[in-house]
Amino acid sequence: MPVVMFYATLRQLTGEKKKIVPGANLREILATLEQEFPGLQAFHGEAGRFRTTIVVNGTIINPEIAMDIPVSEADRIDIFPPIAGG
Amino acid sequence: MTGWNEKILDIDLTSGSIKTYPLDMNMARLFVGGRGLGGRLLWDLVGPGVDPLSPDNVLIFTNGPLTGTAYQTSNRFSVSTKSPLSGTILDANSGGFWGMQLKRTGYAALIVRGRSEKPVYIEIKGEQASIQNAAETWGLRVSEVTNKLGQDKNRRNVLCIGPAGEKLSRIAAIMNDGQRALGRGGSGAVMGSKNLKAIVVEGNQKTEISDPERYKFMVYETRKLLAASPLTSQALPEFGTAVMMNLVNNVGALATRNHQHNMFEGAEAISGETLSETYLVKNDACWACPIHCTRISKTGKTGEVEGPEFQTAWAFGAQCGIADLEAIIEANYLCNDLGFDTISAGSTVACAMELSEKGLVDSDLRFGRADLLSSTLEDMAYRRGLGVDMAEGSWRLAKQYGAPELSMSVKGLEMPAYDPRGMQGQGLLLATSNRGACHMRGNMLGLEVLGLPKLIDRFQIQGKSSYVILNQNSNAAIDSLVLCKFTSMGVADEYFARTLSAVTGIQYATGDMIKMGERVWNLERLYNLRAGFTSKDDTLPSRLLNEPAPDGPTKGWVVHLEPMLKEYYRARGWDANGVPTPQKLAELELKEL
Amino acid sequence: MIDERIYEMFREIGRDLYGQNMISSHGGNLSIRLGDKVIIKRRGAMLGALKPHDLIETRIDKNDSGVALASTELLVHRTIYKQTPALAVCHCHPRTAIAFSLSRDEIVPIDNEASYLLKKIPIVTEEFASGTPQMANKVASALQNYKIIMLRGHGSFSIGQTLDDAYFWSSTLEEACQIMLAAKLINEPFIEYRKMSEAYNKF
Repeated sequence: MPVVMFYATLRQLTGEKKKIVPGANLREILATLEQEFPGLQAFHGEAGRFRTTIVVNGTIINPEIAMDIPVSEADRIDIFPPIAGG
Repeated sequence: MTGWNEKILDIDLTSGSIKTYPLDMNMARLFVGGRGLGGRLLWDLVGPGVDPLSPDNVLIFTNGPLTGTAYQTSNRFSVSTKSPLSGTILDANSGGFWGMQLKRTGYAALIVRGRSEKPVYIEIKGEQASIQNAAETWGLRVSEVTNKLGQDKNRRNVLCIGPAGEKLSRIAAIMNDGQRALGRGGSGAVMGSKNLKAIVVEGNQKTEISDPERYKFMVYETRKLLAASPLTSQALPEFGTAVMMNLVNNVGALATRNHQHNMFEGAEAISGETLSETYLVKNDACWACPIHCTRISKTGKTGEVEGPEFQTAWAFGAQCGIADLEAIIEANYLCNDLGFDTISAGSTVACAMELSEKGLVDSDLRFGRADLLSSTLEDMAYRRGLGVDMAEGSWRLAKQYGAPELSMSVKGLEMPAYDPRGMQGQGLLLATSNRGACHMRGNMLGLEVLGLPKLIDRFQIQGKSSYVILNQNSNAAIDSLVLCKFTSMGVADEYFARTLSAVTGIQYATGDMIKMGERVWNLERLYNLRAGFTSKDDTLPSRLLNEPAPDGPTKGWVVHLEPMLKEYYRARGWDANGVPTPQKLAELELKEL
Repeated sequence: MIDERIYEMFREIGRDLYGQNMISSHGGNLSIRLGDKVIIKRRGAMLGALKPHDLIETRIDKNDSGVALASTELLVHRTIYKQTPALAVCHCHPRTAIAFSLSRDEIVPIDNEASYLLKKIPIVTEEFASGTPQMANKVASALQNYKIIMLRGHGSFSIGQTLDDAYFWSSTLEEACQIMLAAKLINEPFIEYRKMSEAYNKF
């Protein structure tokens, strides 16, 4: 089961910095997380804008095409809420 | 036409003369204010061949029609000059309160020429300006002189240089309101070379608005949009810009140890999240801003101080191999108080660290030596020991010691945090920015990393130039209004155009406003070409073009600049040498230049 | 050679446009700007079922070999790229929006989403509503100030930084018009729920 790391406001939301989450691919992992933390769903709302940013082993995931990519415990998954900077 | 102040204040420090004259309103219509207006005025006043630290250079402080209206983030202002660091046209902008106050004096621009024989400061009260003796403040640090000259929240505001600018460090900043910076490009040295210590402003003129109903509507919509965007309503207020540290690091684009690597093992320790858990006291804001991205941090040594921002935490953090957040906060505070640009200062320290580790320079500096940051910055400000050379910036430092390729800079301006081997479009941006390697000219972070508005492949080469060009034009427009770019994270350009129209009474379509940005960009390009820059200067350090990223998610990548640059020139309507064609200049109403 | 990811983006959005009844079998058009080139649908291709060879790459400002195969609406797209900051253009035939365009000069949405995102959609008109320079200039000129406009009786033109954006505005417009149509059928007094909405038609 892969390790999922949380950042910024997601740490408050989930109460953790990292968590082991069951799931064979990203879609399943996110579904599991959204069930446990309903607040996560807000970041998929607002007409598709402001999604979470998901990084798997350093690769930025395009949520439209990569949600079914299989993941294993060797993979590191980072989830960022909408953030910005300069 | 409303919104603009229609007078220019022109002070010659050599002769002591103080003049005012009308603002050319056709110039105002075409270049609006801030960066655009300042750049256009600079074109006339400072030609090629002028030494930036000579009396023939000028400082032009500008505001815009939106400044001081209380539209969200309408506090920003600009300085235009010829950069002593890069030799290019320079504009820098800053927030806080000073810009709003300059607008209240009734002037659209303050031009400072010449050189005073003795240290002086300028005081502007309403429309009355005077040159005052600065004997009692010359030598003081920024916080001291700001207090001494009567800084008073939003009633009286002080802009000044610290010891770094006085001693003509080419990476010196001009500071305002104590802790805000006109950071990049060394404008502080220009001010120091004129023996000008400070400019104090007080005023009470209000900005007239052409269509108050429409203006009110735009304010309301902007408030809604900023509140709805989690970037401006949650991420920035809660974590500040340093929230970028982990993300940029995890995708392998965080320049580390002078760009030798692009991931830093200490990224988490210097991130916005860690700052929130440790030294953060509260957030704060510039005048008329609901976003509150400012950090107020506290350490034992500094007390409560502003910052650090992402770029600062990176420059003294990952770039120097330092994971000590407390040391970074102290370094930031010192930069503010001595008057240094934090990006250039941190990256110059990193360059010195690499030179030292490679045995090219005799110094104790090594990557990770957080304990040496404070003393090094003091040495740089007061020009002691290696500080003499470091005060000149990384490019002159590295050249001095026989290894110019170890300066991570473009056109002499130090690069920011993003290692472009992990963001190809960012590489194109940094190579083509008019003031040297600057991410603020059109940050590709949104498109290449954040997915804002949509994720594009950061490794894609073809087609990148269109996005870079749009970003550059749009940012140039925002810098000319003058607004904060963080509003554009929630508010689209069409709102700014309509707000500009409502305030001025001139109907700017969205496309007109972006075209204004394009005009400013091309003006800056012409200025640099006239000053002797060529397409050869649109490049990146050879490390980024030739040394593949050694590890991490971007392993093996270099920046494929050439194909992107060729496409960029064509897409901009420039010839193969990067020179704007006559048709392009005619289209932008720049033919007379 | 057109990058496969670009082709996929066109194919998916074209498929969605067709599936959402925003175009007929061979109608509508999509294009993007890449540097100084434009990528546009081949003449006669079906947006709902694009194949890789259905995308043509040609210069924005000059005719080259790609022109012969490109859509007849290439002129409008080129004009839009020359006169506006657009990086993508979506042209489709949203049915309800077209119906509304026949009897007014602007569409001012009543639903929350479109009010928030669009505010107002101007309607321009042109005698020969296809492929002429006059029509191209009129459309491009209107898109200087709005993300999406209607050409009366013909369809919508929308622009954005990405094809996604441009499609988004089109989809939002049609949704707004369907809601307006439903409200007309319901025919009960409108309860205003938006603050400062009287300013939308002056946007």
